[in-house]
Amino acid sequence: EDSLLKTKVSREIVERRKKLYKEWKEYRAQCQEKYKKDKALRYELSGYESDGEGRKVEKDVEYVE
Amino acid sequence: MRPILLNGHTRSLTKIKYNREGDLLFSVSKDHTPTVWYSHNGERLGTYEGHNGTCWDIDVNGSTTRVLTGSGDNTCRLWEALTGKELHVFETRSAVRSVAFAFGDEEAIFVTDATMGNKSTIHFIKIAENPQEQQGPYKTIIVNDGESKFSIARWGYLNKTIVAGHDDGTISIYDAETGKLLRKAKDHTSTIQDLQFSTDLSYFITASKDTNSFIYDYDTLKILKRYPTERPVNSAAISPLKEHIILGGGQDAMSVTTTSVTAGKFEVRFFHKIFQEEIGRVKGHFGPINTLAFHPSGKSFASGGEDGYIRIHHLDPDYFTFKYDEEE
Repeated sequence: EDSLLKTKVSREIVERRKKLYKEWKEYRAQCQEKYKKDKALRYELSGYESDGEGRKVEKDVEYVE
Repeated sequence: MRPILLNGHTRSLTKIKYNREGDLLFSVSKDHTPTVWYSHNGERLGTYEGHNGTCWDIDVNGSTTRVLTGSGDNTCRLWEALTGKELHVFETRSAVRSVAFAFGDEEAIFVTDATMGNKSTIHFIKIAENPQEQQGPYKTIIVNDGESKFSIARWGYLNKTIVAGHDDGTISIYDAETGKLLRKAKDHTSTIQDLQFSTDLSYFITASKDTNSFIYDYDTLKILKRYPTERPVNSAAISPLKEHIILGGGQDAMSVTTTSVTAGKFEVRFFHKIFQEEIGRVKGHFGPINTLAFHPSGKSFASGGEDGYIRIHHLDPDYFTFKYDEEE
């Protein structure tokens, strides 16, 4: 009975995450559409060439062993 | 994760800020001495001497040529970033709580507290290329009658607006040109301690004494995500690289001495930004965490504590590869 309950709960968590992820991606797509026209100006003012992943900085942090 | 401890301040940290490249970390504390550090090894590069009171906020411009600091000594000061030379002192009638350069470095704002006869005010200054020609504020936004004082202010999207947090938890957005109130939201019930934007400026995160942190959509002021905790949240930052946020806080200063470090209240808490689930904690500070900042690359972060230390944490390689199955 416990394992059945666990399965049910974990399935609910997975479904919740999937729903939240889908909603967030939709929101981000709307943002990108809304602010698309300002992208060049935004990059110029911020000094960065990207908004997120892969954003390059001049002196990147190196992992210290 | 091996942290680097930056030991130089003699009192509690109040704010830390990376420059655009992320090679330098700027800090202010209650010890009156703004400081700049090399972020890769924690070496102290220098200090900015002149303030006579607690420094509440610091900002560095995009080209790392100017630094702005706000202090309880009723001044906001402009400094040459790499020499520590004081370029201008903006004298005020009350403590300066918050400072921020505009995107593009041509302007800046600073926020003054309410005192007897003076309302809390956002002051606008134009940054002169020649320091000799630096002028005082040319425009202000004064808090409306009946509204709580400003606790923090930041430039909004493309310098078109000012986003302000208030002592009672209100978030207000003003037109930067006219000073007109455009929209406001009252979801928090206590002081907005921190407000940091996403990299594309379309949403921002708040940290409040009411123990919550929210992500707001900039355009609508609708709450997108909620991160409830059990303790006052002093600072919140959004990862520029992963779908994560970090929160730092603890409790009011008066309760600190009665709390064991092992009680788990002084940790940096990682949350999954989208799922709103806590995914990890980083221990280290011996008191509340007052300020947090992600390195612009998202590969490390820094925390400043009530214990007077700054800790720089370079995230482990595993951190970058981990993903939930649902994140595809």
